[in-house]
Amino acid sequence: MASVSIENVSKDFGAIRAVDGVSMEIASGQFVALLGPSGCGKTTLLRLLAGFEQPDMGSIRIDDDVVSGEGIHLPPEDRRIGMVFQSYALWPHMSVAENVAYALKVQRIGRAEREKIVASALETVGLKGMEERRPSDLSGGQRQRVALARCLAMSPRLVLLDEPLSNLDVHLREAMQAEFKSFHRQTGATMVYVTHDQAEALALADRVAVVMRGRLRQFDAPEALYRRPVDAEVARFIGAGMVVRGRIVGMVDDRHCQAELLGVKVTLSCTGRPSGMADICLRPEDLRLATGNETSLPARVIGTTYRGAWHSLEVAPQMFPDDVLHLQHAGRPPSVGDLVRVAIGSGWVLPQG
Amino acid sequence: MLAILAVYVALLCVLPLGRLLMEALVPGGQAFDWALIERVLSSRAVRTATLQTIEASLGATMVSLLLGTALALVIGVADVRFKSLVVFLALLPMLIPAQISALAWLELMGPSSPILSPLGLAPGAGTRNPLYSREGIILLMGIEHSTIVFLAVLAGLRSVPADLVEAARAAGARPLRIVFTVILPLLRPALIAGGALAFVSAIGNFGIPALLGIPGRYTMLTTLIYQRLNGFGPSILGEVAVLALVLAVLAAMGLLVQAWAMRGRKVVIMGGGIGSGSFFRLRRWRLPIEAGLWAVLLLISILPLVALGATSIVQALGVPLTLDSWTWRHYEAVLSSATIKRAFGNSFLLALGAALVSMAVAVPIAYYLHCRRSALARFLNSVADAPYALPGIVLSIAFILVLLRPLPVFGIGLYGTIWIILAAYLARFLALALRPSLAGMQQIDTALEEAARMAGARSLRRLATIVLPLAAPAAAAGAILIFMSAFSELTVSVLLWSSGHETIGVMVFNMYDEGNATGASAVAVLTVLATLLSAAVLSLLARRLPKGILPWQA
Repeated sequence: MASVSIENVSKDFGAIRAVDGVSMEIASGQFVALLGPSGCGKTTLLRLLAGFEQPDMGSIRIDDDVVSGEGIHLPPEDRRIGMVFQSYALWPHMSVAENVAYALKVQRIGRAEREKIVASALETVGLKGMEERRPSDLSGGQRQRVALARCLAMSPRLVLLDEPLSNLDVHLREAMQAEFKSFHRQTGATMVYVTHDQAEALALADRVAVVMRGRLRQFDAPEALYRRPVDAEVARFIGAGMVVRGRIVGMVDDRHCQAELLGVKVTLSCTGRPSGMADICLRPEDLRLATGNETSLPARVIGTTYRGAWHSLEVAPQMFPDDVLHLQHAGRPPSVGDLVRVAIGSGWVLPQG
Repeated sequence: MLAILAVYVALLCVLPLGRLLMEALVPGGQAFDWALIERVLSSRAVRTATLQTIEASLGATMVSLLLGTALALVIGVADVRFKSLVVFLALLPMLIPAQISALAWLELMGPSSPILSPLGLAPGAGTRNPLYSREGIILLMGIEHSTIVFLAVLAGLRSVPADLVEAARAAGARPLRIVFTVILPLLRPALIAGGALAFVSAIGNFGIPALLGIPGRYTMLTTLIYQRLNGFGPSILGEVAVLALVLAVLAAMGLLVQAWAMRGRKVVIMGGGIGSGSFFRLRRWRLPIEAGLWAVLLLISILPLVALGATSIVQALGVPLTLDSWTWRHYEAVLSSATIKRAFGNSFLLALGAALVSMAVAVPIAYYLHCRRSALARFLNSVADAPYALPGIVLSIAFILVLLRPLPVFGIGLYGTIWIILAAYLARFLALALRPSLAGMQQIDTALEEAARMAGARSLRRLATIVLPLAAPAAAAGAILIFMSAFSELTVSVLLWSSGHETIGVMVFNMYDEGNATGASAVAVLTVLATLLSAAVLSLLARRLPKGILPWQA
């Protein structure tokens, strides 16, 4: 198991800076997701770790050994890193067992030992008895498992996964997510997982790195990322947060303050001592339709969507019609055009830059 | 590694063509001089040959366009039956070498035709074969190269989005109107490109002008070069180099038109184009249209070969073929002839050598081009196109120029040996090896090699265990394609052969020239069988090949 240390790494493709001054520390045994919109540089970052790309600046260490930078570039074949490719990259001319055994043959591991490792890797991913099959005879999920077993057999110190679920059906994804979790539990390997699907990232990873336009924007535990985004862009990207302007009027305690938001007084979570005007992140579950005469703001319903257990409501505050709010409402929904009152239960003051 | 490949391509593909250019433009080897070009071009024979080359080639291009387009449209969009068989028959003229098609047609249409005589349709005994004429050349070259247009149109049909045709049907248009108002306009680039390639092939064709034009006194540039060089020997090389340059310029113009027509065409059509299925139900028209289709295919693909086969088993030319008058005599004669056996051996070894060496060179070039994105490899790939695209006779003159004198360092002369033919074949067929190799490499996902790197495999091991096994079927197909083309080749070897170093293509040509039509037919039949056998082997490989490698499965 390895720790990874990325220091101020940049990578240019022509005039485009794909990765821009990224620094991050990954502890041994961690499951890290690199999350970002497509083209944000997360895959380039993964390929830098793998050694397929060479950084233009900065350095990468694995377990304190420099693998890139400082005049050194260790080629991928010498890094002892496992990788699961988006396309699985199973060699079509080899059987399942041959695919899994390939790295062991390269390492000149004896036949008996090799067969033992292959059998145990295939058993781990639940493909016992499939040894002689060809990749073309397997289903998408089975191919994914072979790719995992191939990785497992190498007993790598670090496993990289490049959007491994993007080629699978929605219902298979859930099952494979569980598979990845148990793979992580059993091997204890350090894992770096690239995805553009935030639900996947939040569900799987110990820590999520949000990458946008080549920069690392936030590297945090999933709950922290959701509850305490660092800026408006991250707030909007994760969990479709709403960002509205408000005025801070005073602190309640170290982590809460009073603010005036959309014309009403509310208590919000915060960090440091914010003051003056600030951006505030609201989640749908922070809002509800007001009952009785609690503090609330008048708003017009502009859309309702049936979501099964609840309706998602879209409302425009009467005083601030451009700050459209979303909330979840169980029970009978109001009709479009109705005037309702919205109460704000909580919110997060984005750190003032 | 790449440096060695670059030297190989430079020596075989660049140096000879450069030498040819020098010979024509700088005749004394000192300074640029128009004099030679002017003298050659002012000759009446040369001007006649040039004009006739253009005239016959344009005529043949028209025939090719009409025939190729009609066949491709019927096969591509209508629900005619037995499609694979029909496509194979439509492409058969491509598999049969030009001199053998010419021979077959001459036997079919001549006064002693084994097919027309029993029907009383043959020209009277002693009269001239009607194909010994400009019209004959145009017709035969037109049929021979219709396959190029046919393939271009079929490929074009696949890139016409099906919904455009569906929209026209929704607008109420009938099939014939859709063909003329939607499909044909969209096919224009494919038609121009296919026509241009057919033209380039026609001006470089030697087999048909040689067998039809020389007796018919209709000289074209290829036959003029052949006759001059045969009559005067290497002393006339400078003059012949100018003629080759004229041919090369004509070819280059055609190729430019083709490149212009195809510019920017690499559009991927979502949801498939037409021509992948049977678009139009012909209903009550199906039977008459199928009858017409089969009649055309019978005439252009089957009857000439039947005539060829029949001629090879008649007692003597003009003796009618009956159930008890046929004979294996001519086969026995050719198979017991030491010269012919030697020629078969030569062609076999030349074709095998050209196939194996070319693939050994092409696979690494394709690897560097695709997997390493090497700019040098990309350049080598495009340079290798020149010796294949230019007329074969231009290439053979270039090789005579380079190899006439002994090699500088080794002091060995290759002129007059079998090696000069092999060298020319290696130059000519490299492009034929590169295309499938590259297609084979392109279907290998780069992640497959990256996955092997992650497993710790270094570059040689990756080449041996991942890349080569995956590229092998395409490489094998390329080798067989080269073998087929080289085995029956005539245009290049006709100027390079020497006594003891004949190729089978040259044998057929010479035997016919000497009046031994029955013997020539027998050798031709054996050659056709070898070609069809190679094609059959290739078809067995088909399932494992990337699309577009086998021309007859386009």
